[in-house]
Amino acid sequence: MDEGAFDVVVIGTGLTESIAAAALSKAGFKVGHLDQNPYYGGDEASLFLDEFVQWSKDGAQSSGCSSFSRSGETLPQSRQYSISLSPSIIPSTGPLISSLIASGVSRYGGFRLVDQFGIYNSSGTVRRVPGNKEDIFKNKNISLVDKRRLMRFLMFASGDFEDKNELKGNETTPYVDFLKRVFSLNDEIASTISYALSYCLSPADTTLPALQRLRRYLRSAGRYGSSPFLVGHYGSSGEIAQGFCRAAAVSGGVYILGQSISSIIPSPPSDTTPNPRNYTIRLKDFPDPLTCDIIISSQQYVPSELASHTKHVGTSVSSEAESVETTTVTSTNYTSIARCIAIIDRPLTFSASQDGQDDDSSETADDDEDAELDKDPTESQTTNSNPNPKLKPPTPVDAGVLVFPPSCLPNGLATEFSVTAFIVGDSTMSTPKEKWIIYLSTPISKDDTSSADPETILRPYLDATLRLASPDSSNPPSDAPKSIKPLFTTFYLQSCPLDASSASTSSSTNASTQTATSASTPTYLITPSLPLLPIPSSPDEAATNAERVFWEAVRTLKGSRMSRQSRHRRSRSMPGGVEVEVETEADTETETETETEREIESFWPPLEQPEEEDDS
Amino acid sequence: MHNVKRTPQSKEAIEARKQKEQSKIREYLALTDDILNRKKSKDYSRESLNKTTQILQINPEFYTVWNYRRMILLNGIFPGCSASEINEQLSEDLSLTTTALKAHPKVYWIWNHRRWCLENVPTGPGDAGAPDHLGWRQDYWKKEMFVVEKMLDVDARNFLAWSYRRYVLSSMPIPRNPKTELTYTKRKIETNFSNFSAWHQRSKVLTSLWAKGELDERQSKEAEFDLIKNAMFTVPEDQSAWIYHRWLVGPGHDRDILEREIDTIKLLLEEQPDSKWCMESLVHYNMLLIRNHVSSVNTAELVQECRKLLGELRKVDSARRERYNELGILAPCLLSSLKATDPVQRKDLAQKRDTLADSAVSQGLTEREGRLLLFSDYYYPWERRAITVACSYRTGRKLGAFSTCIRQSCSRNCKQNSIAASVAAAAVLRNRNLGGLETREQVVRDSEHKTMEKGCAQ
Repeated sequence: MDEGAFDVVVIGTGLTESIAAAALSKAGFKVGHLDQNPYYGGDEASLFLDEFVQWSKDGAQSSGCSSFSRSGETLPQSRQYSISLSPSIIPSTGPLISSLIASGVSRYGGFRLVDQFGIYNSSGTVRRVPGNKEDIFKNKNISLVDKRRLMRFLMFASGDFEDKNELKGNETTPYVDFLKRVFSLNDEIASTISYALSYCLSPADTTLPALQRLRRYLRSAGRYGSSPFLVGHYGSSGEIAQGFCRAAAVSGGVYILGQSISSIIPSPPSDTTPNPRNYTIRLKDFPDPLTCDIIISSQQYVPSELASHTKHVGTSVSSEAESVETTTVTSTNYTSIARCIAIIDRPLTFSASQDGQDDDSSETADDDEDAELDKDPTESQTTNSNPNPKLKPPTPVDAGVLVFPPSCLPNGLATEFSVTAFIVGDSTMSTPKEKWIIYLSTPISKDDTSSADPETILRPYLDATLRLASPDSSNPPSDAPKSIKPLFTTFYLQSCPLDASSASTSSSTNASTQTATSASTPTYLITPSLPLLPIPSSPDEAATNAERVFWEAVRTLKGSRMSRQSRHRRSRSMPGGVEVEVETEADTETETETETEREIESFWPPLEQPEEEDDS
Repeated sequence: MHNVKRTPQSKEAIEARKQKEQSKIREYLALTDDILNRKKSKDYSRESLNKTTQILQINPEFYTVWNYRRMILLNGIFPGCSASEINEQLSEDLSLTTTALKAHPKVYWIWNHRRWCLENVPTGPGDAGAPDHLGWRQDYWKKEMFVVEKMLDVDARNFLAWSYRRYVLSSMPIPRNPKTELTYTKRKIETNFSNFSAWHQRSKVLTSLWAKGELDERQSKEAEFDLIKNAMFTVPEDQSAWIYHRWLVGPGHDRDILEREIDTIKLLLEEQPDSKWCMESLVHYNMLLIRNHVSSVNTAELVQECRKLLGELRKVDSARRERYNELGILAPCLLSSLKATDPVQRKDLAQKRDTLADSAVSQGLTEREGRLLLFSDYYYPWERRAITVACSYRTGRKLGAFSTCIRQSCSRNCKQNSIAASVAAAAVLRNRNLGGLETREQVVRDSEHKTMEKGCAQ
């Protein structure tokens, strides 16, 4: 068999493409997977620090990133950092986790819970985000009545609220208004729910999608621990993409990395060669051409001359009924993200804040019983050396999210959007010991994009985050915590792809023109690009898109095979009248449909089951 | 397992499986027979011990076998053993129970066997007087706290583990500072406050600390009120919080606390107008106000409020509407009986009781009302007795039911009361046809007197 012949060639190893490649490969198709980068993950890759510096110098433009400003070159132990180009957290239930489990890819990687959540409130302090009844019960900053209201809202949000009276007529109300009006929540709690629990990006975000997001997060809690979110080791998304690639390779997929494509040529309609593949792909430094029936890639790789062969696979904002994911931000008022990556060598804590009003100390101060907390019960008679057990240091943040609601910093420029800080430490395997990465991001409104300087926008938020550093242990704790200096910072601007809704409309027009011009179905599938999403949404969005791409590819592949067979048959037996050909095609089409249904029943084939054990 | 396709099984496979199960069942039954026969024939050999191990590993709920095992140990194994051999055997038994508990954390017999083992650990390894005289025992007890905490980490609401925890705490050779227990329960409560056992443990520890004067009752009670209010407001439908609150309020002698708590609950009710526990607690605390402060509160208003709340309760919790009906009857009964007895200033219980009985009679208490009064917690024993007498007077022929009633209700209070009351009831029953109340009372008093004498003599 021809080694360069594939059913599908996937170009780019982003999360969507990698999941689709793994699913197709596991479903029995021959998959070739290319990436021009020498690493997996595309725009979602995890890079070593030196790779990241290199990427920011030359690779970033192709990913739509610009306006870099960097301080500090690469650090020692550069290879112990995994810098994520798409930092995100993963809800414990949802399309990505389901895919990870169903495909067996979860076995390739490690995960940890994101266990600390903070919100910067208007008074300039960081408060823990109360996300469940235990948090609310313990919280000392919320009044009794507000506790009740907050709990009532959370119960509402975790249930089936679609038909509830509270929601009726409020689906498109701005979320914060809804919270205040319908659930009588005060400003601070409404803001916490909106930005830190539902991950809204802007005050304009509407109620229904925010509620649906929140419901999924609330229902995710408890699956792997009390927190709803996980983060993957070694930079999460990039590492997960690589895991799916590995799964694809295990079932026979072929990988070629670090090779750019020199040409993609559609095969001329010919009756002379038996079984011609639809495309021939040539790579720059690779002798043999690859042939395939369909190509899957994102928009950026499509050669303009192939535009008529393409089909955009619908995104979740398209009106498909099965699309339950309403994670996409409805407001399209922003097209870029300002990002900052900073590396620090002192831990941050959410509970200690500037004005000393911190949860933990007030908690331990009020009853002497807590003084006993740290003592080993068996040694309680002997150890009484610690003179002041109140000064138990708060737990440093090793996987946490800090949210700045819009306008929460007096000197902050992000007045229309929230700013998210995602902090990871060595327990996520993405930093060396005693080092932490802070990822800051915020959307930028369309009007500002041209003039926006990511450093100007994000610097105040970085400074505010750095003020959370725990005081150096050598200093007396009474000293005001000094702001620390990061070892490395990079600010940049990432432009978001076309917003999804316009992409899907263009796809429908595309499809109609194609059917008009050529009789064949489009065989170049374009993966939907991820719009700007809240930090817990993009991995799931990628998985949802991958499933759509998968089904579209399965349909197209069957169609293309059958048509090739029929063409082949025709070339031998009946020197073709057009009408006959059309009829045959129509027949095979319907056959194809049923065959597809029969052969491939699910996105993921069942995992190899261990032999049923005798319980002896 | 969810989302796993059921693989169709062939007939042969199903048959083979059945066969396998059958043979397992046969084996188990044979083993059971063997062991029970050995037990009957008082076979205390090591072989029998091994058989019990075998069967207990399969079925640790077989308490007869646990008992038999202890008999073997005591009669067959230990007599021929040195102290250190006994120690080793017990350590084996302890690890047997540990394994069993992991799979069956709520089997009484396993916990029970564990206690027995610990209590039978011999002294040693050192001789009497040596510093390690109690070394073995101390080693076990140290481990025991660890075991029970592990069990509670797995399931923080395992009441067997909690009661075992109390046992361990009270039996440890070097007692722990009881305040650590407050910290422990608080930690458990903070992880999930819907935990009756943890609250209960807390109430026990606090009671003992208050009794010993190691903790200021007033001050720490305030802290507890604060804690529990947070739980009530967070999840008002969680009964465990309300029960703890009720315990904190207690009999309600402190009017300020009662009224303050009523106000707090009213605030919660405003937020959550359909909260069953809110309303039920308000009724209860209103009744306590009436009960304890009848002369200084607006009783009519309180009764009215109770009626309203109970009406609401009948709607939101219709499954218990009869109970709310009965509580509705109780409130005015309570009030009138208190009004009747309150002016009797003398501390003469007997006179109070007579007054209460008179008023109960004159009000024409029905049997149902009488029974309600008897069972409610708002009456003291002497009041209950008066009511009983009144009721029996009124209802004449249905005394049989009452005598049971009295026995049950009074047994809650103390043994002597219970004996007295049952004798009283019996006496009343015998004298069914006697006319006046005085005569009856006389009979009751006489019999009470006799019983008490009898009690003292014993």
